[in-house]
Amino acid sequence: MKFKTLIFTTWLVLGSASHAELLWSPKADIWDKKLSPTEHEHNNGHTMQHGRNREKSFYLLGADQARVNFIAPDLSSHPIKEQPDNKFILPDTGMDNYHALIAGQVKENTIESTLRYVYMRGKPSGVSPNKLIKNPKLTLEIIPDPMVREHWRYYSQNKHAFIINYKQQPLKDSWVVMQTSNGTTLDGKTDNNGRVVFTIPDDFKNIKAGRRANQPAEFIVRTTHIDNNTTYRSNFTAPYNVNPSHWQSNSGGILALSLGFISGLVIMRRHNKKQISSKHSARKSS
Amino acid sequence: MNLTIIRRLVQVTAFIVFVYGIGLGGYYLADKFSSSLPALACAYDMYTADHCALISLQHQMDHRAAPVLASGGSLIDAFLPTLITMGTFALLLVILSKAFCGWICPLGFFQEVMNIIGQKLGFKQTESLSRKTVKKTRPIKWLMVIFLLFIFPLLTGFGLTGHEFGDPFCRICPSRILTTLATGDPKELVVDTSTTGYFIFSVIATFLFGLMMSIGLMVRQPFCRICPMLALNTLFKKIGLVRLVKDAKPRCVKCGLCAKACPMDIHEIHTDMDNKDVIYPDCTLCGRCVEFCPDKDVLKLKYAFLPVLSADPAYFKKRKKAQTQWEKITFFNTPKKGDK
Repeated sequence: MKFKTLIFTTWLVLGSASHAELLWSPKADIWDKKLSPTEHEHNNGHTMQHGRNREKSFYLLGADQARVNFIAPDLSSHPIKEQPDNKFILPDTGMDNYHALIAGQVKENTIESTLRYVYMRGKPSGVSPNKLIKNPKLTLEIIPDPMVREHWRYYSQNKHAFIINYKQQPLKDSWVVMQTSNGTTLDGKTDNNGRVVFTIPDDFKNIKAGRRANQPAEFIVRTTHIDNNTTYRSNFTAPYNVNPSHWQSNSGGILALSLGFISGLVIMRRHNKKQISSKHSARKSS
Repeated sequence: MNLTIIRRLVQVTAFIVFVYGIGLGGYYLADKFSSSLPALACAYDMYTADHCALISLQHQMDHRAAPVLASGGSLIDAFLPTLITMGTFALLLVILSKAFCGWICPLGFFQEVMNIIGQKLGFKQTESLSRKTVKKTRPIKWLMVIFLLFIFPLLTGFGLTGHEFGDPFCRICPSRILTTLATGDPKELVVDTSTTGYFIFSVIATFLFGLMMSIGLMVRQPFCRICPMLALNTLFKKIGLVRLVKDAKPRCVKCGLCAKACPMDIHEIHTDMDNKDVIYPDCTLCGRCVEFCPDKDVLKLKYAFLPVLSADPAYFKKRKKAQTQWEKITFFNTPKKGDK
């Protein structure tokens, strides 16, 4: 069993590495070297704090006549401007919330697809992100279960689940690989509901204190399914951040809370004593 | 069933909805709620069904107003999102008025629970804070609004203060720790060592939370007295449909039971003999003053023109009896049959 796992995982990892894998990336060379501080983008494809109105763009790696689609939360499709070097500038749909960035291509008997959710700013869409995320978009689709909410990010050390759907049905006993741009590879097998859970690796090197001091890395979740001599390859990409537990201490928090609690008791004890003594003096004077 | 019991039921329901909202309405409920009701639970709670308006206001100063002003943009462009937030806030205030604080706020409810625990544990209760203490405390909430919601976030947006000052109120808000802990997530109960600023803010936040808990065992609503939400609610109190009306009688001068019942120690509710509208800046519209007023129709809680509760001697007697019975029940001493 373990031997089979090893072979399949190696095939999923090396199979993708042996040819250029179709995938969305915030930078052309992110899977080769670290993001540059000026061009990085984080929080699931949207710059959360600074430059939120800046134009967003992604590179489609491994593309060879791929078809691209950009879907808004209300499921409307929007054309994307293609720049040289497979760079795509995302259009402003005017809608807030997650948008789906999809690409697909056919090579001989292989159908490749890649999916990424990008948070765009705009007016409230008025629809739940479920409408987009759970809506079938690909034949073989990796569905984050759930996608991180607004104000949230994927963090290392945290568990996240993904559902693999093939032709809108959960694909059970299917091997899935998670690979990070920091060099970690994990594998897992889907359960009867097509669900697989990964703990995002804590594989950042030279961690500095503070989220802003650390650039996010990328992870890719990929799977392959063969049906009727056709190979379906699909992946899902997203950024992930260093877990803040590296510079935040729960025991320190409990200590400060305890000090506050004790201080409150002391303050109230003094207050009550004062009240009693002032009542006494009031009685005496009367 | 008295008004306080109804209020508790509303508070429990609101707490469940806003702290564990996604369990009721799905994981992405916040995306919808936060777009329409910007004045409720904490955004740092992963299970919340809504986002507090205060985080939006701070971020609008830091990320919108300051950058637009710095690049020479117009005032309307800089503050339009703030106006929209305040507009929706005002809309909520039309419906709820300041009753948000007394009936819905999860942190307000938590403090009431702490006070009940304190009373049941036998801690000596401070029935009313002195006028001097109340007077000293009152301006703090306005300073919180001015500095923590507007000035520091604006300065951060201009690049004059560190990023930790971008949402300084949220950094110290006890609701952030409470609501996350309530969902079993201890990630906000931390001391953050990433920068000196974050370290100081995190120590203040956790210390303040502990302080609020222990003082709350003996004093009613300790944090509410300095909460900027109360101050913001005050800005719109004139437009709210919930009204607290007083028709003063000569007996009011000697009575003062309403002020004694008030969890916010608003002494003016007793001493004011001229004004009909008695929603003071610190009022949370909990209605206790009406419940504990022994004179017919002196105090009235109304929704628009509809009376919700009017002071009534018979109600007062029942309520007083129920309160006495309730206060007799402690963890170490339960009332015996025949106890009055």
